[in-house]
Amino acid sequence: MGFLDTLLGRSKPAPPDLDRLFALSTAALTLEAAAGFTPTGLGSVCFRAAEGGAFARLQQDVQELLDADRGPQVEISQDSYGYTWLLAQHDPQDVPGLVTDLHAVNSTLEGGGFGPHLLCSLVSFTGPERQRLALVYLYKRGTFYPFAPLPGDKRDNALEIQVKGAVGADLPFEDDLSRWFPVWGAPGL
Amino acid sequence: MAAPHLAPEPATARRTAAALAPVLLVYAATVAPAFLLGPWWGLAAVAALLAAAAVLCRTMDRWVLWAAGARPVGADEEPELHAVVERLCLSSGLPKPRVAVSAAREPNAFAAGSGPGSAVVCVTEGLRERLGPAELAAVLGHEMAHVAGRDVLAGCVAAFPTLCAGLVLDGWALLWRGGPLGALAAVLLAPLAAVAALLYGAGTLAAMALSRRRELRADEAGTLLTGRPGDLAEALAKISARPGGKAGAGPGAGPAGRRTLRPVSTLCVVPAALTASHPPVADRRARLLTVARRLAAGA
Repeated sequence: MGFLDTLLGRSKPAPPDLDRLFALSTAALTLEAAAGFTPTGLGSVCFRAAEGGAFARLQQDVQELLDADRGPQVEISQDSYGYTWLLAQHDPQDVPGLVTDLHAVNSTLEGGGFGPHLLCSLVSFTGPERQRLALVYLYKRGTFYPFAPLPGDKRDNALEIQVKGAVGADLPFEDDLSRWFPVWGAPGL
Repeated sequence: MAAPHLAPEPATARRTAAALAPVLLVYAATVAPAFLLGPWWGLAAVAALLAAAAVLCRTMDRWVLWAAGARPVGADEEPELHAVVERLCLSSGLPKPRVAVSAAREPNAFAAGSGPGSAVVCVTEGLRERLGPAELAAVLGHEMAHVAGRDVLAGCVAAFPTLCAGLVLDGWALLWRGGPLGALAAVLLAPLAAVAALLYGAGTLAAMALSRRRELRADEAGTLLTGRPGDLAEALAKISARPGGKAGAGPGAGPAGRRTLRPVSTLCVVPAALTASHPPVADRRARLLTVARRLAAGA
């Protein structure tokens, strides 16, 4: 079981468990009750667009898949580092619907053999004082962490720890704090 | 969840061990003369070497950074560079390495350290000036592949004799510019320089087998990490295009510009001194472009 096999997605011993994304619905309820954070109805999936035709076709498939279904707003954008973000929009109350869309995008890309290119998925929330917050799902680790950006490329670490305390029991949390990577410029945040 | 990405391939581990054998011979050759003084001296030299090796494995990253004139930079200093590395960590599942920048003008990059937990990736100012964000990500992907493949330590162990010898040679070359007194010192130290030159040559040869293969492997794995072989091919072309316009030129082209990274040459993404430690850039680009064509065809 080599590094290349893992990167190529061959014979994974512990495949990323995308179904963990569904735990976000419960976490959203807990977060609202415990800290007053409400979902914004925005969620996004980040992936590295590979060169070439196969990936371009797949990207089209994903967009069609989401567009066909009740016509939710799906926007494709590129960030300044060359990564592609798919932004899905739902009624703020409909977190399960949003999570289902994110799951569909992830599993379509994974099914197309582009699992190695998936980075993360996130669902965003706003706080009682309009603080911004995202719960980020790390595809490669199958874990979640909070990301709370402040103006001027700073992070609200206190809030992130507080959120971990609130929803840590609902989600498989990332224990390694050094992997709570900031996702600056994520659409929908 | 355990990170399966970090499991080293057993076959690769064996091959790495085999490739390290000549490197160990170089190490042995440096202590062998002590046995001429007597068995106790010899044993003392071996003990000193083993102790040095143990310390070295833990502090290798600092040595390499120091030799390359690089310093670690924080996320507040270099937010963009850190963001590129973080994205690569997100897509590879690797822990984040430290990030360093070398003031060297030559465009190059290297990874050092003793494993994924303690790795450092370094880019030069020259590299950042010449490459766009996508190409920079491709080069850093190559370096992250070195980290993931656990060949940073093997690479560092192999590079160390060359590193020391390179530093001695650089210092010796500087003496010549130090006026008559410097020249006198240089002549007196000529035997030391000769030994260093010998060690430099032997060390580079020994590191060759290891590093040529690990470069190709890092090209491939790094490309899978970013999905963009074209970017890496483009970056390699830009890096190897010397200021004089001679692609992949020998040691004669612009030696002043490449002096600073010579001690860590075998670790760099393109060799800083002797091309023999790496496969020719043209070959690497050809391989990458084949992958790019395969992706374009949708295979």
